[in-house]
Amino acid sequence: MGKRSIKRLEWALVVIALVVLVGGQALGAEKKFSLADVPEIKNKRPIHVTLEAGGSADLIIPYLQKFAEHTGVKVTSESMVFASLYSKVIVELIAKTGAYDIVVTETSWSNEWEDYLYPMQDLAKEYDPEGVEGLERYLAGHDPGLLRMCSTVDGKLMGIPYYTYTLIYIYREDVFNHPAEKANFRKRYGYELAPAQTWAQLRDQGEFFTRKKGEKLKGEVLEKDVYGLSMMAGRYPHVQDEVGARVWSRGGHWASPVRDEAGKLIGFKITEKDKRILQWAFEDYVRDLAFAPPGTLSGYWDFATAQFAAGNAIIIPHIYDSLWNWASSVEDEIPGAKAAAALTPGNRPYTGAFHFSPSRDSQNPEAAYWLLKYIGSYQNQKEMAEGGWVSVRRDVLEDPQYTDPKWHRQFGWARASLDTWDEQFEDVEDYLHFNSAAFGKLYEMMTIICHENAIQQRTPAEGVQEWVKVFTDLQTKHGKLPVL
Amino acid sequence: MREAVLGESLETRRTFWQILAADRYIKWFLILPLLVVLLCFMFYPLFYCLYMSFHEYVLRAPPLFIGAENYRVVLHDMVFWQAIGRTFYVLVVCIAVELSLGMGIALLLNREFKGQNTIRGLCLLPLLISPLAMSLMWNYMLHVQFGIVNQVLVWLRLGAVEWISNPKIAIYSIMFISIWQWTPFSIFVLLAGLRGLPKDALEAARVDGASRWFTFRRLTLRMLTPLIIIIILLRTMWLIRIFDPLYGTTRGGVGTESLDWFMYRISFVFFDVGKGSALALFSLYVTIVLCAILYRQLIKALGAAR
Repeated sequence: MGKRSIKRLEWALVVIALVVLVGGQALGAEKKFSLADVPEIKNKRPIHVTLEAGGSADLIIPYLQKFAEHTGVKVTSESMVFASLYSKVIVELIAKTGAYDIVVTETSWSNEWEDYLYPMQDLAKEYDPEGVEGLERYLAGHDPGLLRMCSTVDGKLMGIPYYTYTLIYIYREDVFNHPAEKANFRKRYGYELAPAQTWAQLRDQGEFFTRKKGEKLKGEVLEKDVYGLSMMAGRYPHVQDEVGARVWSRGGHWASPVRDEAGKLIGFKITEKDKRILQWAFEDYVRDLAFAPPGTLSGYWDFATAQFAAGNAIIIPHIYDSLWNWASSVEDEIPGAKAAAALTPGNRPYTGAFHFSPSRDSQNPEAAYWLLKYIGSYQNQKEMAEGGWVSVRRDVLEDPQYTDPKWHRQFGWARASLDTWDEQFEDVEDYLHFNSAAFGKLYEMMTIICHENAIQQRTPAEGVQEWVKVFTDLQTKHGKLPVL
Repeated sequence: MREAVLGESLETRRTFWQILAADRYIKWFLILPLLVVLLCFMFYPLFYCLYMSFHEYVLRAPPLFIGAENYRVVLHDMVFWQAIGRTFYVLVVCIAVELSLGMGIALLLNREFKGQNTIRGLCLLPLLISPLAMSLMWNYMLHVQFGIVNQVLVWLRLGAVEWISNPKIAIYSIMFISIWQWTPFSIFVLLAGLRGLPKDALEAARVDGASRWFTFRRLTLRMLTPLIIIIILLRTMWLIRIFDPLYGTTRGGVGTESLDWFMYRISFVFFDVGKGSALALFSLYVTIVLCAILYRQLIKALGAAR
């Protein structure tokens, strides 16, 4: 074979490679649903969407407008704060007012709101030319665990997730990596300083980093008190998430699922093991509060993140990944500071997500279906994520380009969340949060009990007793499955 | 005879509007809109609430009659009694402080001095702020680290205080917020009373050599008693329903849950309409009893003043 022939062969190979590459990419891109794939919507009635006020609402509104322009279906929205979202929406749904076509649903409300929402599979059958299989292909880029959380006990998908708030552990990497801090920690506790994997390690770290004004951190004299742990013990749902992470990490449950021989869920029971673990979790939580800043007993995520961002705390053991942007702003506040994320101690924190769900009283479920697909689509989620949004799509978060340090402030949380989803996947099926139709109410009571434990209004043992009492009452009144 | 017949025919020919304008009917005609409003927006909800209080109703299924079970559950609930106790504690302390402060400031403002109108106007400001906005505002002002109150305390080297996160202090912060907003109400009611006091009686006491304290205690205070009772009456009604100062600050946590917050939680978070109705009616009964007692005192005081 002459030189020219070899050259030709080389070129042919290059062309073939390019064709395969470009063609493959085109094929791959074709699989990703986008606004252009939304078919002509026959029903032109306007649709009204609820949004959670704050960060998530503002970013979504432009996409609602794009959808309206493309389809000719007018989309209006109403933002409400999370604290009032449940109460306001549930009344409209129960009363069948049809006020909202699409509602923001928290993963733990999926079972409770089942009677008032369309399962996505039903809408796919009705309005999607590709049917349920098309919907399943579309969902391939989403996390299966999160999708389970957005579904009912019997597998009906009650919406499409668009925003996650998985609890992760955020810490000051610069402090953890400082040679003097590492050496002192090793000397005092006998093991290496690294993100806490156990609750005992977390307490050690809390104690180690809680320092008074005038003491040293990273070899520099502190001008203010610094605390080891930033926590959320106020009477808000987040205190429950912090205690719950302890309960799940020890193999306990707020209430254990009871299944029949075929594996079907038939009820719940708070076992003796659950009670023991709950009591331990309450005790452990109170012990850790000793290393949290003043104000923690009425604080929530806002307070906890602010403490970290202002350099008042070294670790936020449980904070929602959606707050990474704010928490990592410590890098702007404190010279030399570096934030990093890891899995929470015990690897079993809350992994919630908001999903948009189509209301059964919608006058335009067709448009609602396509809008949901559009908001949760790869292209949208990617665009939003690059702007600081906490995407729920695995295929977006797993894109290797985002591991580049230049994306640290947008995606520094992503690996920790993905790992948490993987760790939790097997257990989601058994969590009360995603199986009880009374969970909207149970959540509030868990919050109160956890907060009263934190302020020591009740002892841990009394807290457990109270939980058993109110769980039985609320599950019996509002749930669909009995307490056994 | 002819006149009588004419009068009779005129009587029979009176139009509908003339009949309505007659004394017998006009009062009912004028009061009718109010009666309709009361019927629709007061009596119907009240009786519906009473009806619901005897039912188990959690929205998902039709109401189920359970007799007085909701009342029994409420009366055996420790959280309810804690909320009641806390509400009354807040009520007594707030009224006592507001009246004392209100009287003191009203006495000061009753004097003639330069800039008195400006000072009076400034005193009115807290009343003009929406209670909810005010509770959010105080939430930030009392923030343990970033709040201006603690910034000042730290600057004075007095140290920061956990105003709304310390279970021993939070309830007093709630009281403070309420007192801050409502003391001007006492000030202006009492100031109006002071301005209206008969000068000759006070002058006579002064001429007779009565001390200031004696004059205040035996004359001023006695003559202001009806107004003081009105303040107590109104503030009792409002404080039994204390809610806003909690909403923006503790949200019922840190040992501050009031009766109204408890009721809100049961009714609009748990949607236990039956139990919520029983609580609402209980709150109403308590208010009625307290106000009836105060009202009798007011009538007595008014009688004595005459």
